[in-house]
Amino acid sequence: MPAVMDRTTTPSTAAAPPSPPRRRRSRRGSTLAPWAFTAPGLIISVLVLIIPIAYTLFLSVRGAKVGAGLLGPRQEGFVGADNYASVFADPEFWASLGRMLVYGVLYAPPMMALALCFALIIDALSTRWSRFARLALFLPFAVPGVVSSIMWGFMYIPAVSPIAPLFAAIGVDLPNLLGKDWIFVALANIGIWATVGFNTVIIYTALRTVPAELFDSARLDGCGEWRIAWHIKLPLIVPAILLTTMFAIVGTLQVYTEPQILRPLTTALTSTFMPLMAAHDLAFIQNDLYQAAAMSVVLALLSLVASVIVLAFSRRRTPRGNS
Amino acid sequence: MKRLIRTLGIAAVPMALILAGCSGGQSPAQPTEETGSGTVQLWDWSMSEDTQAILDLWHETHPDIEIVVTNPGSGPEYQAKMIAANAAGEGPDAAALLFQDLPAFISNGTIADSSAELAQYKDEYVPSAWAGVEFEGATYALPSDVAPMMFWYRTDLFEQYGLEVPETWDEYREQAEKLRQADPSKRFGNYSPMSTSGNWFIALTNQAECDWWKPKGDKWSVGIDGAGCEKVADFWGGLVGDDLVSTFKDRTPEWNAAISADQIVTLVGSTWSWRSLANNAPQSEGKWAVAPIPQWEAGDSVETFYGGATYMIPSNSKNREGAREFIHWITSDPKAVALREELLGNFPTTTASRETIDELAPPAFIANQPDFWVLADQIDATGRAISYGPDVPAAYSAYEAAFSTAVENGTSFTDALSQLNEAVIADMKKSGFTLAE
Repeated sequence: MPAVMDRTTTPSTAAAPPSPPRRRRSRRGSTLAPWAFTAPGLIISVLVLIIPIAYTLFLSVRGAKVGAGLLGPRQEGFVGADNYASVFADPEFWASLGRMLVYGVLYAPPMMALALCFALIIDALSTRWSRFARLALFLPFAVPGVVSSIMWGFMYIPAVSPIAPLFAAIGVDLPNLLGKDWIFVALANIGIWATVGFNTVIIYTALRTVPAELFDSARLDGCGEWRIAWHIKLPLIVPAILLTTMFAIVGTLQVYTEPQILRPLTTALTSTFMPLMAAHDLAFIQNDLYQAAAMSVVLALLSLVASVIVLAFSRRRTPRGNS
Repeated sequence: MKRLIRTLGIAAVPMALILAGCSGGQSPAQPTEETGSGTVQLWDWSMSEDTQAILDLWHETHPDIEIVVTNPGSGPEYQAKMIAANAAGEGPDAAALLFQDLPAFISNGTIADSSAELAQYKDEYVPSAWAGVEFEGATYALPSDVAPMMFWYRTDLFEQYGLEVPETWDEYREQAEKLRQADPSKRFGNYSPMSTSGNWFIALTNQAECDWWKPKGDKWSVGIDGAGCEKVADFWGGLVGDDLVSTFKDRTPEWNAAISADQIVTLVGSTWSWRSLANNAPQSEGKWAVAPIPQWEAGDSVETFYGGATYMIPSNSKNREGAREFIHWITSDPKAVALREELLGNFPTTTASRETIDELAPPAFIANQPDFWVLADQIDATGRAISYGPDVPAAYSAYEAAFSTAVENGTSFTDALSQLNEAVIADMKKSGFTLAE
């Protein structure tokens, strides 16, 4: 939002000096107008972003404690950093972060590698096939997470899975995909299936913006398709790849729907399996909004740090990629 | 400044319109003004189209008081929803309440001492049911359903495999081994490490005379690592470790599939268990029978309860008088009680209903067992009341985290039990409860 205001104010103040008599009025008008135009956006972001964040921070330093006696009543009050201390002292929270990392490792790199491959393949395909392939890849992204989780869940359950008999027919004994050894693969598979098409489209779009002359001259110089992909296409689409990295990290931090939906199907998934599930459990099952708020703040800070790192990396890389 | 205000004002008009447009869709859902007359807002997870007869009967006999039902869904979210709605002043005037939620509702003020309104009815209810609505001598609700724990078994499969109804837990294990040898595709029972099975596990530990929580003066003692609890955890850990019972989460697709495929031949359930059996294995109708659950010592008869429910008047009820009349009626009126038994399988809680319990027909699904309710009444009479604490949801979440992991990794149930104990102690300390040493 501030960036937008800067852009609108700077030119008009710079244009003001040449006509002294109208200066005051023009300046005042020019300082008010941007505010008026940005007001709807500002007000909305204050209402739906700033106030909720502030309220979450407020809740995270409060708690409802039993004052005296066996059952209280509970009194709401300031508890300082107690909630944060409880979050950090909770071994289940750290365990859930660890599980999230395992998921991230199994989800993000394969998803990005696949998206990149698909984008390069589609880019090299003839137009008709490329259109079909793009649509086919993108479709899973349009399927709501709940639906895709249920769908995959029923394919995983040994008792009702249609896949297991297929594999059995060719002599492969499928492991229990919802058991503790395979659960991360099972979850990452749903995540990859659902998001690879979206990321493919992003990378593909970036590929289409690369000027065709570059390929022509490369071909004249004797480059094959592999070398064009490796030496020309890849370096030029680094910003798009970084963007998909960001989506992959955010997707990892926000993993919730798949494990939550699959939870009743297996003992390998608990109500605190992923950090967001733990926060949900605290807020809506254990009815401790305060600690849930503290946990949310910690998780938000973690995703902020991750995003800043990726962005810093992309700032360093982008100019080089463009030059 | 004026100009600023005017400019902002101009900008604010479309904003206001946008906001009004956004909220416009929701305004019809806002509750209309409370007239204070005869409307009682009721929250009840058991009410649906199928139970309309109960409300029709009420409206027929009480034309002055209209009951408006909301079904907020059962399950662990109910407690949080109820607390939030009541605190916001938008909660119901009367509500269903599980036994295990009572201490939590007292401690956060969702329910206040209702002795003045409800204690007068004490003599109408059986002692085991009344024990669930009293806390430290004050009355908070009226009992609608008690659930004596029962052992359900498949008579046809018992005959086929030559199994016997176990009278002790040792015999339970012997029979489980016997079945496993006779048919490796079947399991004698199921162990479910899910938070919604917390009531099941606490019931079994209660039978072993282990109290998770116990008030001591104005302090709480937490004893989930007690000898009785350990005995139960070890027992089920052994069964799971030796693959003598399955480990499906209760009433989930896999459990349903196993039940409908006759893969599980017994279940430690209660008076209401026939409902999920009828849904998932309708072909097994008439093939189940019930018995008291196995004992730890041969010849004992220590019984326990699996769930149970009440009706309460929340602290922010706007029609306490109407609510009192309704919850007394639905828990004690003979016709209402009979309807609830028929439609919901609720085991009646009034003394009067127990006097004629032998006339009560068993649920249709288990019509082959004419003494179903008589047996339930006998179990109820020697049942040990469960002492619930103020943080049951946290405890059940911790139960799932600890025991699911133990099942999945094949690790010790005793360790899982001490994890659960520590989690509950930490949670209570954080909430400011004083713990007895």
